[in-house]
Amino acid sequence: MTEKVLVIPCSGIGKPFGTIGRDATLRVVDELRPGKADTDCLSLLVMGDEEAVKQVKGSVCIAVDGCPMECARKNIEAAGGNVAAHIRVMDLLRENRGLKPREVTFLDEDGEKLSAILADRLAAKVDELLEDRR
Amino acid sequence: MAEEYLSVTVDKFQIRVMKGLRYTRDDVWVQERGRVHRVGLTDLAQRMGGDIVFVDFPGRDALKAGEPLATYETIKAVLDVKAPFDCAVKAFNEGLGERPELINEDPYGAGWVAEVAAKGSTKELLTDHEYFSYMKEKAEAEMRKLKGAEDD
Amino acid sequence: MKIRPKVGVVSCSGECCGLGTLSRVATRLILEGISPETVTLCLPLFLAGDSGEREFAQRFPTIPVDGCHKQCAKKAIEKYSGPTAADVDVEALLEEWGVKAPADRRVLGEADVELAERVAAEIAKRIDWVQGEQGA
Repeated sequence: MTEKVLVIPCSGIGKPFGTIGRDATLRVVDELRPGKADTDCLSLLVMGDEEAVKQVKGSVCIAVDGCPMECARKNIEAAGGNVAAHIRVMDLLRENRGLKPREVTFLDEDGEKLSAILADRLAAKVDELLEDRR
Repeated sequence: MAEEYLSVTVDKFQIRVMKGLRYTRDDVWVQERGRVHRVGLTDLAQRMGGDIVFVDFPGRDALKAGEPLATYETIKAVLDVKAPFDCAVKAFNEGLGERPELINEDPYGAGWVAEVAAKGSTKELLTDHEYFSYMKEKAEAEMRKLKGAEDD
Repeated sequence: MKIRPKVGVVSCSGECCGLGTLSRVATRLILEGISPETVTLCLPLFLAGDSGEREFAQRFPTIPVDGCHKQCAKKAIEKYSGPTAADVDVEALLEEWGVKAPADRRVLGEADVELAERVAAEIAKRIDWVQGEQGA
C-alpha cells in the first residue's frame, strides 16, 4: 500500500468543471499536500497501463468528477481502485451559488475561486484519509 | 427502446423527441394524462442549456401560457420552463431540488418538472413529428451559431 | 458554398506532466477558433463509452492529440472506433523544435501559451490535410 492518497480528476475538456477539477487536483498535489497526495492520468489507467493500474490498486483514491457522467469514479472502480471519496465539481458549485465559472481553456476569476475552494476540500480529505490509515 | 423516440444526430450529440407526447416551440413537452398533465423540458432544451445546477419553482398556482413554471440555472444562463397553456399547477417535481441533473439525465422521465391542469385549450400544441421537424432545424442552427461557421 | 467535412479531435489532458496541459490547451484553441468544423471529443467520456463520442469517431475522421509517447488518445480511438485520420504527438513535436515541455503542469506561462498556439497550428494543418483527403 503506497503512502500517498491518489487524487484522480476526470479532466473533461468540454466544460469548465473538467478544468476546475484538474486545476484543483494539481494544486493539492503540487502545492497544498506535496508528498502526501499524488495523481495519475485517468486515460492511462483505462488503457491498462501497468504502472497506473498498480498504483491505483495499491492506493486509496479520491475521484474528482466534473459532471454527473462521473467518468473518473466509474473508471477507477472498473480498474479495481478503492474510491474512498468522490467529489463532483457541480455539487461544489451548488454550494457556492454566486460563482459563475464560464471559461474552459483558461479559468476565469470565478473558476479560480471554485478551484481554490475545491483544492482546500480535497486537501482536507487527503488529511482525513491519511489519518484513518494510521 | 429506440422505437420510443424520433432522433437526429448533430455532430456527436443524439437529440431525441419522445413519441406520443405533445410539444411547444418553447421546447416543453406535455404528457396528457386525463385532467392533469405532466410537463417537462425536451432533450434539445437540456442539451442547449447545459448542466443544470439549480431548479427553482416560483410557487404560483395559476399561470398563463408562456409564464415561467420553473426557472433553471446552468453556468451559462438562467432560463424558464414556460407554461405550455393556461393552467393551474398541481405539483412540482420536488426531487429536482436535490438532483437538478435529472433533467439532463432523463428529461422525459425522472426529470419531469410539474403537473398541471389545463384551464384553456391545448389544441395549439405540436405533435411529436411536428416538434421533431422544428427541433431539427433549431438544433442545426444552434450548432452553426456556436461554431460561428459561415458559408463561403 | 464550400462545405468542409467534420473532423473530430481527441486530446489527452494527462496530469502527469506539462505535456498533457499543453495538449489540452492547444486542442481547446482549435475548438475556440482556428477550425470551426472541428468537434472536440472528451477523452474521459470516450473511454467511459456512454455518450456519442465513440460513434462520432466511427463516422468521421478523428485526430488524437497526445502529450507523450504513451499515446492514450490514439490507442483509445483505435481500440473503440477505428484507425485515426492523422496524429499529433506533442512530445515528438517539442523534440523536433528543440523546445522543453512546460515546467509547471498547472499554469502555463506566456511562453508556454505561445507554444500551445504553435501546437494548435500543427493540429490545424492536420485538420486541413484530412479535409483535403475527404474531398472538400
